[in-house]
Amino acid sequence: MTQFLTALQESAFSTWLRESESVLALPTILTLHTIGLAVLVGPAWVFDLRVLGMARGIPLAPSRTLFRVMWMGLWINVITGVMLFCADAVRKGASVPFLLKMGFVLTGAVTVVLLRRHVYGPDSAPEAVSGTAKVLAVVSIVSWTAAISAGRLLAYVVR
Amino acid sequence: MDLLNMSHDHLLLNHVPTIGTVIGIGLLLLSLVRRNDHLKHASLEVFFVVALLTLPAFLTGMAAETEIIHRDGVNPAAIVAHHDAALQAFALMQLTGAVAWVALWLFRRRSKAPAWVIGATLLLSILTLAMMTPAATLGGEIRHPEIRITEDAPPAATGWLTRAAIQLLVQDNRAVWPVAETLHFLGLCLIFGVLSIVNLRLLGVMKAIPFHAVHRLLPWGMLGFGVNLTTGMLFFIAAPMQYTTNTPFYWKVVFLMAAGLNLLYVTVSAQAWALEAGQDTPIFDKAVGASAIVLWIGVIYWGRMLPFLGNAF
Amino acid sequence: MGLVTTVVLVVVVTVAAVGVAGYLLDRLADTNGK
Repeated sequence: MTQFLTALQESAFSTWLRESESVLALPTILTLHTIGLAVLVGPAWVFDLRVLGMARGIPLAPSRTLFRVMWMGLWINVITGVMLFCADAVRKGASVPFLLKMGFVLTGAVTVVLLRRHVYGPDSAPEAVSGTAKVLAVVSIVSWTAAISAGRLLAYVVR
Repeated sequence: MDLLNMSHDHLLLNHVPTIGTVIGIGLLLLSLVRRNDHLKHASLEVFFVVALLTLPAFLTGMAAETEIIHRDGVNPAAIVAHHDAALQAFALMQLTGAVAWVALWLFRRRSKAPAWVIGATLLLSILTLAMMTPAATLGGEIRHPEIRITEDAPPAATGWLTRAAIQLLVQDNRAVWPVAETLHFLGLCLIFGVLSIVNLRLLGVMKAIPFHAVHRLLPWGMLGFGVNLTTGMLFFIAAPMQYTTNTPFYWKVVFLMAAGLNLLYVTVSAQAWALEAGQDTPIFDKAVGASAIVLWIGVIYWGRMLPFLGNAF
Repeated sequence: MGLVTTVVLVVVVTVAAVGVAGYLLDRLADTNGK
């Protein structure tokens, strides 16, 4: 495993990303990662709030488009995230805080998929929100909060 | 006139929180006497815009300090007393702006603002003026010996809302900065999420949603903004040199101001409010929607790039 | 108190406060609003 991670870290791309003085390297990838998280988590939280009964005037059917926006954010962050990981693969791969963050991200993503299925699935009543959906909405809020907090703390805690 | 001269910018901008607050109060009182809702609405908008511009007024003040502190005739203790008083007045100004915004939001939704919100706005604005006045006077004493009553240094402000107290807090507690950063990221997601759905609707996406429905989410965005304004000010006051010498930071503030005006528009606009389910958006509102997304991504961009562009930390 | 504990505590309190405030403001919109 360590061999694989070292190979990733020593690759030409990772080395460039990590060591280049260019603004287009690490700074840009970090910024895209931040924008990506806003594009993913922002609309997720808005949908969660709606499911929990806030702004009840918003019809659920057209709100489904929010998931397309979230999807875009997720892809931006998967791509930039992989790049950021590669640049520091050996350390991150062994870091409990990092693995914890990925755990929270995974939970968040799964919850969002389940939520969409629950609100828009074939068995769900249109414009109605089930109790399960509300629980999922809370889990989503907590997961993404934890993911972002863990992500920020990486800068302080990663060994 | 050199707009890149921070001292000059500060001297220009500091008229806004002082004279602007007086104008806002005057308009609000007049509106109550005349029982005129248009005047009332105008006064609320004045408070909001004044609160917005009070941010660069304060920031340029800190920047100006580094420019002038070593000059002859400048009293450094006066500067400290002034900026601490200004910080407290700033906090009250932002509270006034926030409550005025709630009033504007309710005004749009109910065609009138409840008396208690107006009352709160009036009270806060008067308290703000009460704090602005000594702050402004202390500012004058920095370079105007003719208005000083004594030659003694003005007493330093005490309490937790002073630069010294905040810098001590950050110095003594290594958790403060990471906590503030985390909250700042969470806040930006809330802002961006709410403004995404609002501006996507303006752009014609999710057209089946009537605008008044997404308008109801705006307070959540403002709460996110409140968290970020507070944490942002903590960063700035704890380590002003990181920001006052950093060009991307000024761009961030400029973008923020524009985004704030954009937010005001979507809060009060009759044209946007009238958009029913399925209705096409007029081109102006589409432009507002598009610009909001560009502006907020810009705010994130400049913020994230702070350590890399301009002067590195 | 450790760094992580402090962050978790403050984040939870802030999220709760924002949640309550947002909820109250949403209720405010409810009274004969849309």
